[in-house]
Parts: sequence; structure tokens; C-alpha cells
Amino acid sequence: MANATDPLAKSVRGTDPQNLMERITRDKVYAMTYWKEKCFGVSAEALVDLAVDLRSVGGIYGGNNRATEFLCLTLKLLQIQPEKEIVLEFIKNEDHKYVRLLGAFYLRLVGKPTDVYRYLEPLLNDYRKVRYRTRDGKYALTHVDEFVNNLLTKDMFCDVTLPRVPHRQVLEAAGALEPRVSALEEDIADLEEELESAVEEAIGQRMNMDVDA
Amino acid sequence: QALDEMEPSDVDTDDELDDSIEFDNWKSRELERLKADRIQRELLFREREEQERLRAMTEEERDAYHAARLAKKEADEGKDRPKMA
Repeated sequence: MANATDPLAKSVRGTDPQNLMERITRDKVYAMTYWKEKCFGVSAEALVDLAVDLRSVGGIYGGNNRATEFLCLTLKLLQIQPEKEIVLEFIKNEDHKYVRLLGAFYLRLVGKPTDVYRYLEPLLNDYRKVRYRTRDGKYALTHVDEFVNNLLTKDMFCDVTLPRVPHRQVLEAAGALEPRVSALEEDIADLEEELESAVEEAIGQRMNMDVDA
Repeated sequence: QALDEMEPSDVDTDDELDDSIEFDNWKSRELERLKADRIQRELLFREREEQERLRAMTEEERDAYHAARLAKKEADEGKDRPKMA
């Protein structure tokens, strides 16, 4: 019972939302004491308190393949499927970094591609420090913007497969998204020059390999 | 150090500490992201142009194009492969 999805939850991408986390990872979560003691029957409101107490993010760690508390709360969110407004409140939370990251991670899993870009990209300006629990159980220093960048660019993160989202350029071409204005652009005058030279260099390397260079 | 002794406090995440350094680090990360985005855009653009060009070709031109590509590819692969003893 405790591990069942809320019967009122809508299916995400045609399946039970819990399936977004692989079975093998999910079983690790179900086995955690934290899951059994703290996550039993919590509502979205009570879950905020748990998220406030988070001290790191991460996926599976240690010799016994334990799941982080971050992963436990992610699965709980998948189970209870809070309303979009609540998730957005998580993301907008300025005071607690880990609440923000939990919301961002969850939205990346269940959100529409346009929403993923719309609500996660602003977090790229948040350079606060956070801890990431690595595979060997150690804590590593990372930043909110790096975490979010991983969400936007990687296929797999924190041992969860991230659903595919189209490239930003594709959504822009379809008129679904406005071009992103980086907070950096007001700051650096010779930004344009530097970007262009970087593009030329990268393309140049590729063209060497190509037939009609 | 055993796993159970590992404390989150081992890693200091105090944001007050050295804000200006952190901000500079963020700037360089953001710059890398912008570069990656630009490069991807450029590649996408070139790919589309290539497709257009290919579509505009006649049958013979297209055959020649593919033959050239294939020859080039084989030549490249031959380079990397170690010579047989």
C-alpha cells in the first residue's frame, strides 16, 4: 500500500508516474529506512518540511546501492502527484536550495518541454553552493546552476533517466518558446565576439573531418 | 572514512563566504553554456543548409556527392586502423 501511486494520479506519458524511475532504483528507495519512516503517507505540505531538511542531492550511492533522501522524496512526489502550482512554489522557493532542486528535478521528469525550459532556465542564474552525493557516498560541491544545466542537457541524472525534451532551437522554431536572454549579456561587452570565435573554432574542427571542407 | 561517518558538513556550502569568487566562477560556467548553445545552433543551421543543397541537386550530382563522402570516410578509417603485421 505504502508504495502504491495515488489512485487519483494522472498517468504521465501513458504510464504510472512512478515508472519514470526505473524499477531497480525504485526498489532501492522502497528499502530505505528514511522512506519507510519519514515518507509514509505524507501530503504535499508535509513533504515540504522534509525537503527543507535535505542536506544534499544525488542518486544511488555506496556499496549497498542506497538511495539518497533526495531520490526518496522525488519518488514520493511521483506517487502523490502534487498540483503544478505547488511544484512551481517549490521551484520559486528562494530560501531553501534543496526544495528548489527537488521541485526542478520533479518538473523535469513530468513537465511539458516548454515548461521545463520556461521554469528551469531562470535557475541557471542561481549560483549558490549545494552538495551532491557521489556514487562512492562522498559529498561533492556543486552549484544550483550546474545541477539545473545537467537537467537540461543530460539524458540521465541522479540515476534517473530524464525524459527526452526537444532542443531549445526546435521549440523556438515552432514558436513555442522565446529565445533565452542570459543574465550575462548585460554584463560582458565583448561577449558576442567571444561566442563567435568559439563557434568558429568548434565548427572548424568538425569541418576538417567533413568531406567538402 | 566509512560511509556512515560521512557527514554532509564535510562539504561547506556557506554562500556568504566568498561571493565575488563564486560569482566569477558562475560567469565562466554561464559563458560555456552560451558557447555550447551557439555551437549547437550553428550545427543545426548547417545541417539544414546541407539538406537543402542535397535536395536541389540532380541525380548524378547526388551520386557523386555520396561517392565522395564514402571515399573520404573509408580513407579516414584506414588511417586509424593499425597496419596488419
